[in-house]
Amino acid sequence: MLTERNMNTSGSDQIDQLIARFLGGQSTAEEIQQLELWIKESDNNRKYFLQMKNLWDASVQIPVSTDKALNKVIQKIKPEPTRISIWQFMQKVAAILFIPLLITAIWMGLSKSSDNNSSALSYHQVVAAFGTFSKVDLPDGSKVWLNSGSSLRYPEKFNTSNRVVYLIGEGYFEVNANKSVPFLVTTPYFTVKATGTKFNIRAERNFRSPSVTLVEGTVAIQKNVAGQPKDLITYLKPSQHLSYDTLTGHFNIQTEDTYKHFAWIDGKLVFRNDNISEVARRISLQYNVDIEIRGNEIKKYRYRATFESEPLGELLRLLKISSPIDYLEVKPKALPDGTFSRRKIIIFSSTN
Amino acid sequence: MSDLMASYEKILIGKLINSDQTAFTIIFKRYYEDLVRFSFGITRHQDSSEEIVQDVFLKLWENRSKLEIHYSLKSYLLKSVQNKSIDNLRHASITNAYASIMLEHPVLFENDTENYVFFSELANNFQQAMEKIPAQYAEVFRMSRLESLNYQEIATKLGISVRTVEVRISKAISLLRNELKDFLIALFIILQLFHY
Repeated sequence: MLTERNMNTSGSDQIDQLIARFLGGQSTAEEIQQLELWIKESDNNRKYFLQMKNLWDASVQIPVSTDKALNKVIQKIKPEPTRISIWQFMQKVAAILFIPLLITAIWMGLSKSSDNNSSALSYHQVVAAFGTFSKVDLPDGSKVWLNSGSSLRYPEKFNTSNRVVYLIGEGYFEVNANKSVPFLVTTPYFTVKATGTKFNIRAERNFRSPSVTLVEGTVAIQKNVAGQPKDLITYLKPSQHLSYDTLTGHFNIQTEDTYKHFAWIDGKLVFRNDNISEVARRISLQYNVDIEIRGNEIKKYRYRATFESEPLGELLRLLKISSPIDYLEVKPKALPDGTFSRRKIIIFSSTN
Repeated sequence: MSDLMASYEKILIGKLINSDQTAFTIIFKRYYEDLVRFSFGITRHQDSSEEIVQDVFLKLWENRSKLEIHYSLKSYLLKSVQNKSIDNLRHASITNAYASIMLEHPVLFENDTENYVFFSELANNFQQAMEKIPAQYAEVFRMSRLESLNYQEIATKLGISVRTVEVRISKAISLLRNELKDFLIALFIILQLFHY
């Protein structure tokens, strides 16, 4: 790391021009030899050249159609004798991001709800396993992405007056439009009422600031009264993010770039001016690890970062080199029942 | 090294090994374009590069059950594309002067696949870096990389000498490399620190 950072960066104009001529395909045989000798001279020279070339090669813009290419490859894939139609079927659902790794569907039996209309409905419950997320297709065609560790309870069949589902944790909803049958998501903190919209809800148990982010359409946020939605709190417009402070009871609405709130459905971690607690919470969900933050000092740092498929070790290393923190990893311990505890990361300030 | 692999990527690979075509689609869409550019840096021929990358993905699917990925999927794909691209050049070397030069001087054409940075990983910062460097340097770089003009064409278009184009290009890459140094080392990362 350090040697690379302190590496002679100027390279000298003459070498830079030699490299530029080479990259542009202008070099004479003599110049090629000259450049080759310079590269072989030292490891730093070689690294310098490789980075220049990497930058040059990677930044070329050539017209490429990924979708066309994908179709071409798919057509070349030999159908497997036992499951000829699976691939075609999969194409139809190509828009799907994820097939849940592990969905536990639990037959809930009869609902105890006092709502006349739904009293005879049976419920399904879906739980997304830790470290993964699940996609659920609801009976009305609406779609829900469930983040790691979250659960969704929904009736086998919706009734005719409303569509009620129960969420604990985080979910991204794409609700099919139906003006006359409102869609209600009840969480431990509030209920979100929609007709046909896209929105993200965070409502983990014991969470300080549950929130709703609206992507499209409108939603109404309602208070829960004994498990039933009642008073209107507010309406949300697209790009608005509502957070509820469970300690003070205050609701706060901000208009902002909403992508970071549901980037998880694309498998990304996006932080924009977020503190270490939020960073830790997201990492913990995505990588199925426990994270403990020691000391208040580090809570004042704000992070702006985008991670995509980073190995956990690499991600932590980058956090470490970019802010005065350090971390250590507690290896999973064998528990008396023969299972192992979750992997744990402790993050602490490196300045004292 | 395998314990360093992201669990997200591990899940994807696990699904792939279990014949989940959706996982295949996700991997394809994520890496295809960047890999074509990488291969193009070796073959200098777009159609060949596209074929090579498609072939690598086809093989990835066909051999999924015996897949052995030691470091990361990205590095595995880069290695495969690199090998195939060089093979392709071997076949072309009889008729193609560029190919024969390249095969004679492997040092100049090698790529560090372990540390290679894709354009998609640099994209945001690349834009910012382009704005930071003097406009006349950024201009020639853009014409070369985005409009695929060669130095002669750029010279004619701007009414300057080829020599001047070379000087400006050399300044542009060197300054961009300097601006992006941290990102060219710290893989795929866009991370900044904010204080209150």
